This record gives sequence, structure tokens and C-alpha cells, in this order.
Amino acid sequence: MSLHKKKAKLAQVTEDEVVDEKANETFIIYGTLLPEVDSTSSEDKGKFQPIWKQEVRDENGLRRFHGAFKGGWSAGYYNTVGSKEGWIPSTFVSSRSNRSAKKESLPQDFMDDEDLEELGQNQKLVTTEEFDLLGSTEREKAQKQALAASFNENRSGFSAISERLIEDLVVPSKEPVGVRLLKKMGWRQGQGIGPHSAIIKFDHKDNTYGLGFDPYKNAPEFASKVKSNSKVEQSHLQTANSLPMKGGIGVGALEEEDDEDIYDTTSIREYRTLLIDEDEEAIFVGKRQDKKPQTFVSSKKKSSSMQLCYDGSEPLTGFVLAQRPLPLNKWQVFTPPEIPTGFVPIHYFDTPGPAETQNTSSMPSNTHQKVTTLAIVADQRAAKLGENPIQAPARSVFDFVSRRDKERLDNLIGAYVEVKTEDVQHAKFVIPKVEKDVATAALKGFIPFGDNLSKQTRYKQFLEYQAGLSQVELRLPEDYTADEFSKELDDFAKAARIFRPMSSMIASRFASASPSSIIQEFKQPEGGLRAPSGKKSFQEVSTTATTTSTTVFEDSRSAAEAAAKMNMFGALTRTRAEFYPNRLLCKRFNIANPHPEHKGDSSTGKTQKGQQQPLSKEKVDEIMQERSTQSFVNNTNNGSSATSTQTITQSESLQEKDPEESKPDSENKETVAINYVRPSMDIFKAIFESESDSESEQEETSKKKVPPNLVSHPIDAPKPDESISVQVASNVAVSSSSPIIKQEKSETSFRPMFIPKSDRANDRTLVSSTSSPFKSSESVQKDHVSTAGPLSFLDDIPQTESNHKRSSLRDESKTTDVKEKKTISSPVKETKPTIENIANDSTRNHEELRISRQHISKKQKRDDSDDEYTRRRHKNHKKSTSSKQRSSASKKHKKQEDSNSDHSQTSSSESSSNEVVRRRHKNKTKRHKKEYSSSKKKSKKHSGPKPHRPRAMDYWD
Amino acid sequence: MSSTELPTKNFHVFKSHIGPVHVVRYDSSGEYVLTGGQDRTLKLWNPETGLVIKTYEGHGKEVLGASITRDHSKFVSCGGDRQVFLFDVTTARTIRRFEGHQHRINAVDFNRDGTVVVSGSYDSTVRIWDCRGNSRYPIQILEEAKDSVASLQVSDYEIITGSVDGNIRRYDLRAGALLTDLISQPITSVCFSGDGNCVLASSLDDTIRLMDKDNGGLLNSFKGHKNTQYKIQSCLSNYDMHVISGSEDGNIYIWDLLEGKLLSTINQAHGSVVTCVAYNPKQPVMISTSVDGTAKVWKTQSLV
Repeated sequence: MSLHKKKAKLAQVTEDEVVDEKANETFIIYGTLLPEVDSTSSEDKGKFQPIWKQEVRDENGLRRFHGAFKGGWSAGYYNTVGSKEGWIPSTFVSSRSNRSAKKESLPQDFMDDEDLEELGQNQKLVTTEEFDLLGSTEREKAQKQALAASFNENRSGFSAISERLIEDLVVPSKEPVGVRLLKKMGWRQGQGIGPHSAIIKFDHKDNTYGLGFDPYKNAPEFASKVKSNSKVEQSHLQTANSLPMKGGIGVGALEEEDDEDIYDTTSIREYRTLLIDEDEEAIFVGKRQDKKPQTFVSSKKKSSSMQLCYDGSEPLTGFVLAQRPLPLNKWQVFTPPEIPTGFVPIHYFDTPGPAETQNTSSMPSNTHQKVTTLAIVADQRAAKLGENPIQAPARSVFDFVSRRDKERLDNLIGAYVEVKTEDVQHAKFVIPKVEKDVATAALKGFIPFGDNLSKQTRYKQFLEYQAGLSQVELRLPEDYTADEFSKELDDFAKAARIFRPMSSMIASRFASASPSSIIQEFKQPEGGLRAPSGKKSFQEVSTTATTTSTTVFEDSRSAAEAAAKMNMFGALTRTRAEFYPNRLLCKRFNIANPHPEHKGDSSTGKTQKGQQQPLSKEKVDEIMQERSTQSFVNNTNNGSSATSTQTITQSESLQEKDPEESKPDSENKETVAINYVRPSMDIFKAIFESESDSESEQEETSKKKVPPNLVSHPIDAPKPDESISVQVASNVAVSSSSPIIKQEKSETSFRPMFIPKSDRANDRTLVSSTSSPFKSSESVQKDHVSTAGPLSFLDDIPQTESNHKRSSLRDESKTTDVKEKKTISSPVKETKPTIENIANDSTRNHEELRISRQHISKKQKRDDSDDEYTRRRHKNHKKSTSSKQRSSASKKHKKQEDSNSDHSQTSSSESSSNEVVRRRHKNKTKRHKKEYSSSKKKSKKHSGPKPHRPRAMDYWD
Repeated sequence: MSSTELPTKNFHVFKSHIGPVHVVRYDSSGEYVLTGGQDRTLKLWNPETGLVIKTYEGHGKEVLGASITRDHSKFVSCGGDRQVFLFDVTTARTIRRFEGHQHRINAVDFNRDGTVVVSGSYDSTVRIWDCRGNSRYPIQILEEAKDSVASLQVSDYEIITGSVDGNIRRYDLRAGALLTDLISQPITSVCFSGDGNCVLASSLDDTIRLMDKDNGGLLNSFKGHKNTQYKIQSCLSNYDMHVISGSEDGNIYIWDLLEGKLLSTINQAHGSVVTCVAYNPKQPVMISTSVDGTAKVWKTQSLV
């Protein structure tokens, strides 16, 4: 805020200043002022804008593209044809009056601006005849041709020809302007244009130098020699060109040249990498030193033999003594420095250090040096120049540390360092640790270093020492330094780990390579394939094989080997395995799948790479199925326990039975779910037929259909009324979120069940007002209206396997809005209200209320056979509810339908005896879970519309 | 029929390739020949005239295997660049490339209808590619081999592979079985006999074996040539009369199939290793290729 204020202030101040200035200014202004830069025009039109801010406009400045959400492309006048006045065919001309006159319409007449523009782009600009300088001859040619044609036509008629000729003569020939101008300047036809010049001789450029560069300008004596050389080069180049290979013939599969672009055809070989210096010295730029090394060598020889520096020393490697001294005239400006008398140009050190001598001796002699690079190693140069090389210890980092710091460091790590150094001095070489088992295994395995027997024996010694087999101390061999030996021992340790025989499991997976190939990593590899020299490795493997099964395998394998060696091919050498060709492969080969029962349409398990995408639909389904069965089992267990804890005080028998019964039943459901059958016809009828029809029909079906498992359930002993109500409550608890509150609520809500039939219309409000202390009766009533309508409607749905589907489908058919449908059918969205309910106590109460009310209504229904009345009432309810309410209601009702649906069918058909009611409740609680699980299963198995996820799940999960 | 006569007379020398020629294949009519070599090209040529009809470029490395469809419209080739190329014969363009092998591909073959390509690679796998579909992935991968798959052939319902691990594997699609015959020597060449009952297998112990397909028994073995290092593709004559193979010493050897007797040797047929021999399906004519960069057409005396 303060910043803004400041700014405002500042602006004021500046304004004032401006005013003052204007009053005082005495400038004289020349010319016209630039227009004031106002805020809108100040924006740079060419400023870069991000793509999403850029607008596309047509030539008239109209926006044609409005984005996908604003109508997409617009064409014409607001996406219409024509103009503001409407569509008027612009080209319409009444042909009534001049019907005979044929109107010639060009394609251009039907083109719009864009098309015309395109057409214009496609048209070629052609020079008019007058200016057509180049085309003139062509025209003449055409003329002559025409003349000749006419001549041929009437050979006899000479008059015609003469006419034409005369015509041709009379008519001024249309020469182009350019020609006429040239003629006026004295040019005549057939003559060339421009100054007369000598014939240019073109030499074929057969070298790779720059244009006009002659490398032998100053060295004619070299020209003949090197030119012949270059011819050789040239011929070589030609062969290289004709040969489209880069790597040459030798490029085999063994040579791994991954980095190279193997599809590249040009190669560096085609370029000349050899430069010839003006001083006739070959400088090698690239690798191509093999071509002309003799020139260099010769020069080197020359330099070594006769070309010595004036002080008598050889020139440095890479340097060449100048043939001619530097031209002095260039440096005439400066007088050369005066050399003091008695100056010796070379400094000789009085006492050459011992390090120097050592260095020079260890340094490779010049003759053995590679002469490929110009760079000289610093040490070499130092030696050459006779410098005293820097002492080795001086290169330590600690030399750069100040003395005090060094002392401090020493103090800090002194003890450690002392121990270390002593140790090193004592041990001299470090023996790497190898695990005992590794060493013993390695001893049994392949012994490398076959090419160096002494090394091999040392290796064996080392292994024996490490395996604890021998106590012979490892001794430093002669002609070995401690460092070298410890390095070798390190190698031994590595080798022991590498050449330890593979565990039989792994070994069986690998083919035995010849042991010679292992040695070959130390040797130069040779081309071509090689037969194994023996079956040594197999024997090795079999000796180390531990488990009996693998030994058996190895034995059979070796038996087969032996048989093969004895040329006893047949049963011994043959092994038969199952091969599962892919379904598609069978199709392509026109062969029936040999293993139709094989599910994974795979071959021997591991040959599946690349055939199936990692997350194909089937795979996912499979995983989901597995998961759902697992979670289902868990859920049933958990669920039953959950219910039992809730009902434990009320009815123990129920709790005992629950887990036992739920399991087999769940399995049944599972199988049912797997063998999904097309739903019966009346489901479709329920969906697509009119309401009244479906209702009446459902009534019938509900009467007819009784679930088979219901019959098998044992009938429990009758219990007092209270227990029934509690059970109802427990059931409710299962299907709603808060069990404790519900028990109380449902008890109270259960009470009105005994209210006489006639008072039923009132009792709902009564119940709600008594049971819900959180809300006003009015709002509850509203809720009740919205929820109870469709809910009670569904009470009539018979309990069948497809019950779920039907109810949900029917519900969907009733809701007109598509969006609402979606919300109903999608289980994800429906979980939301559940969560909300948990959060919101009042809504939860509504739920409970509603649930209890349903029970009531069911009870009532059971009590009286007057179904007609209730249905009518529900219908009324339904009508009264708005579509929005309905949707929410249907959501809620769907949550309940699992728990309720099973009563519904029995309710209408059975009498109202307490026993039956109790039994029904029991069944309900059981089946509720089953149904839930089956519905869950279904939802996972079928990708179609997923059934509603019941609320009880929140607890079971 | 000049069945007793052997094609030992050199009729033509084909020198169009630069560098070793690795593979030669006759088309089903026997009128044209396709050769592939180290120079990354395949050449279609007429063995009668020796004229190159077309050169197929596209491979990034040497061409090691090729196979032509029965209708001559397409052929498939493979090589060091780990790709299987499906070429259109007339346009000389690649229709498809199958990528997936992890190392060079030694051999490739079509099935009878030309709908499936089977390729065997140094990465010890056999991959089966679909020419009809658009999948980048192979239909199936056969990973039984424990070493480089050097050679393979596809029959109506079988895939036979020869691997350097010393096994001949026959994947019988119809029976859904994999039959493995251990030879215990690296197999470099396998091919079915004309009647489809036998398998001819070359191995690196200077031996060619004729195996009984049904029981895996050894019917005959042919020796005399030298083959210890290189893949030398052997073949049978068009009526299964003779077994023909090149040799590392540049000779070509012809054996009698039944008796196993060496009938003829073309001494110094080539200057170097004879990599592949192919027999004309209709006539007693054969073609051999060699590391020396030539392919030679051999005919019987009467035909010359």
C-alpha cells in the first residue's frame, strides 16, 4: 500500500514539475513533434506474445478462430454463408431475358478470396512479348515452323507463300525492347554480349587445396615428386569413392562401432588430411602418418646428421631447423639487441642432479618415440632443455600448505599416519582379502593365466593361502616390486571372484563356452567361429553341482553329450518340451492352436517379451480379479467381524453363524459372478417399458421369485420385539456410518411401527421430529420426501442375482437428466456423499431416519396387504420432488438398496409374524454382505455400468 | 534327366559385390538369384546372364541372411545392423524394418505365405515378426537357444534352428512341441530336405549330418571338407540326391546323400572360404558365394 502511495506522490510531483517547466521553457522547436505516445499505442505490436495469447486474424482483421470452446472456426458472416443481409448468391443473373446467350462461367467465379489468392500464387509471371528477350528465338522458331507447315500444306500454291512472306516482311517484327536497344548500340544478331575476351581455359581441379593455391610455387623441385605421389593418392581416393564402405571390408560384427552412424556414406577417408608446408615439411594433421612417413623421417635424419643447431645440439622433436635465416629486412626497424661480450648462449648447470640422470635413463630414447604429434611432454622438453626437473616430493599438496598448518595437520593425524607408514613398510605388499569359500570354489573352477605358468602357480598359491589350505606365506617374487605384486594379487582376487564356478542354477542357463575363450581376453582375438576344444566346463559344472536335481539334469545332459559324441543320435540326444505358439502365430501359419487350453497364449513362460504390452487390458483385468478376490475374502472376514462386534451384545447366535455362512456363500457368488449370463428379458422390460407396466410386472416377479439360498437358512428361535428392532439397527449400522448413534436412533425410530395404519401419513413427521433433534421438522420432512419416494418405490424389487442391476438401471431410466445418470452410475462420485455424511451429523441423522423409516414402511407393508396405497403415495412423493432432489435421493437410495432389496420381495408376499420378520432380518444381514461383495466383484469384473457401492463398505474396509 | 551329372562346371563369375558375399538365395522359380554381402547391399541378378537387375541398399552393416517370398514380390534380409528389412523387390525400398534383436541377425526366413518372418540372432533368440500387422513387437520370441542362432529355416508348420550351443531345435507349431537334438558341436547351418523328413545340419567339426526329423537319429554324416570356424551354409540338391557344401579351403564338396560318399570336389572353386551354396530348385545348377567377393554359377557339363 505504502508503495502505491509513494508512486502516486511521485507522479504528482513530476506532473507539477512538468507544469512548472512548461511555464518557464524557452525552447524553440523545429519540425513537427512526434505524436504523443499514449498507453495503448505504446504497446509494441511486434512484441513477442506466447502462443496462447496470439490471435489469428484474417485479412480483414477478423478473428476467425475462437478456440475450441468458443465455437471453433468461424467462416463467412458469423458462421453463415453470405452477409448481414443473408445469403445472396452474388453471381446470380437472371437468364430469362438472354437465355440464348451462353454465360461462360470461369472457375474463378466460384472462388472466394482465399481461393483466388491461391490461384494467384499458382500463376506464373510471364514477361510480355515486348520484353521477352530470351523467348524471341523461340517465337521465331514457332513462326518458321508455322511457315514450313503452311508451305507443306499447299506446296503448289506459291501465292500463299509469297503472301505470308510479304506479310512477314511488312509486319514489323516484334523484337523485344532489349534487342532493339542493343541494336541501337551497334550490336548485331548472332554476336555475343560483353567485351571480347580470350578463351578461358578450365583446368580440372583434382586437388583439395584452395583455389589458385600452388603448393610447389616455391619448390619446383618437389613438384614432380609430390605430384606423382598425389596421383597415387588420387587413385586411392577413387577406389575409396567407388567403395561405399566406411569401415572397409574388415568391419565385422565383432567390432562394436555403436557410436558411428553406420548408414553414413561419406567418410573422412575421402578428405586429404596431409598438408604440405611451404617449407617442404610434412605436417601430419590426422592419423594418416602411414602414407608419407618417410619424408619426415628423412628430414629427421637430415636434421640429426647434418642439421644441428648452432650450439651443436639436435633440434627439439617436432621442431625443424630453418633452412633460411629469417629475412632481416622485416626486422630492420629494430636493431638487434647487443650481445654482451662473453655471453654463452647455453647455460650449463654446474651440478646436474641425480634425478635428472635417472629421468633421462627412464625416458624412452628419441629413436623409439612416436613422431605423430607435435606436442612434447613437459618432462621431455625439460630434459631436452637441460632443466633440472622438479623433485617428486615437491609435488605433494602439503608442500603448498604453510608450515604451521602442516604441523597442525601432523599433530592431528600424526599417530594414524605413523601407524600407516609403519604398516606399509612392514607389509610391503598388500594381500587383498578373498572369502574362504570363494577361494575354495575358485580353486575348483577354471584357473586362468594359462599363458603364464609362473603366474598361474602364484595364483594357485594365493588361492590356497586364502582358502586356508596352505600356510605358505606369499613371498614377493623376484623381478617384482611390492607395488606390482600387490597389484597382481588384486588381480588374483578379482579373478578368483570371476572364475569361481557358477552356481548350478545359473550354470544351467548358460552354454558352456570354451575355456580357451576365457584366456582369450588376454590374447589377441581371432576372427571366425571356433569349436570348443573340449567339454571341460561341463565337467567342471557337474563336479560343483550340489543339489541332486541339478546333478540329474547335468547327468542327463552329459549323457546326451556322450551319446552325441559317440554319434548315437536319437532318443538319447533328443529332448521334447512343450511349445506354446502364440495365437497369432498359429493364425499366420494356418494352424490350429496345439494348446488351446493353455491360457496365457505364451511359449515356455519366458518367451513373452515384447509380445504383450506390460499393461494390456487382459493383464489389468487379471490383476484386478486377483485383487478383488483377495480383498473380498478380507472384506468378508473383516465385515463379518465388524458386524459381530456391533451385534455381539444383542444376538450372539448371529455373530457365530456369520463367518461360517458368508464364506461358502461368497464362493457361490463368485462363481455366479464369473459365469455372467445375459440378464433376463424382464430387466430390459423394466428399463424400457412404461412405469406402470414395469411395476405391475415386478410385483408379479417379486411374488414368483424367491432366492434359493433363502430357503436353506435355518429358522432362528423367535425373539422379543426389542431384539428385532436392535437387529434392524445393527443392520443399519452396518450400512451406515455411525453405529452407536444409530442404535439409539433406530430404536426410537422403530417405535412408530406400531402406530396404526390410519395414522401412517402422520407418523412420518412424528418420527422425524422426535428422532432428529438437530433439524427442524420441516426440513426433515423435506428430506423425507426427497429420500423416501424413490426408496420405497424400490421396496418392491425382487431379490435376484440381477437385482442390483435392475434397480439401478430402472433408476437411471427414470432420471431424465444424463448428467444425473452419470453421477448415479459412477461409484467414485457416490462415495462423496458418504464422506460428507460422516462429516455432517445432521445429514447422517437423516440417513438413519430414512433407513429406519424404510423399515417401518416395509413393516407396514407387510402388515397390510394394501400395496396399492403405498405405491400411490410413493408416486405422489416422486412427482412432488424436483429432479435435483430426485437425483440426490436416488443416490442415497442406491446406497440403501442392498440392504433393503432383499426384504422387498419377501415383504409383500409374507405375513407379518414376528418370527418371519426376525428370520428375514437375519437373512438380510447376511445377504447384505454377500450382495455387497458380489456387487463389488461384478463391478470389478464387468467394465459396464458399475453397481453402486454400498455405504457399509466404509466399515468393512 | 541328367541327375547323375554334377554341376561342377563354372558357368559364370559374379563379381558385383565388394567384399565377402555372405548369402545367396534362389527365388522359387530358379530364374533369379539374390546375394547379400559385406558391402551392405543385396543384389538381384540373373544367373544366366550374370547381369545385376537391382541393388538393394539400406542395411547399415553386412547382410548375413535373406529370404524371398514365393511370389517374388518381397524379400527379407538381415545382417549386422540388428534389423530385419522387408524389401519390395520392384521398388527396391524397404516396406518395413523389424527392430528388436540385440545383436547381429544371422538368419532369416519367411513362412510359406510370406506373412511371418522368423529371424535368428547372435543374441541367442529367435524372433517371429508379423508382416501383416503393424506391431513393432515380435509375435513371439523363442529364447531356448543358449548361444547364437546361426541358421534357421521355416517350413509349413515348423521352425528349425541351428545354434552354436550345439543343438538343433525344431519348433513344431502343429504339435505344439519343441524337439531339441543335441549335436554337441556348434551348428552353423540347418535345412530341411526336400521331402521335409530330414534335416541337414553342418557343424564346426568338419561334419555335415543328416538327421532324421522324427526320431532325431543320425541318418548319414558327410565329411571331407573343412569347417571349423566359419558359418558355411550347406544345401541339398533339388531332388535330395546330393549334399553340397563349401569349405574353408575354397573348395566345394558334393556328397551322395544316401551313401555318404564324396562324389565330387570342385577344387579351388573360390579363392577363400565358401560361405554359402544354393541349389536351383528346377535345374542342376548351383551358386556358391565366397569371402573372396565372388559368386559363381555352376552348371553341369551338358547345360554348359
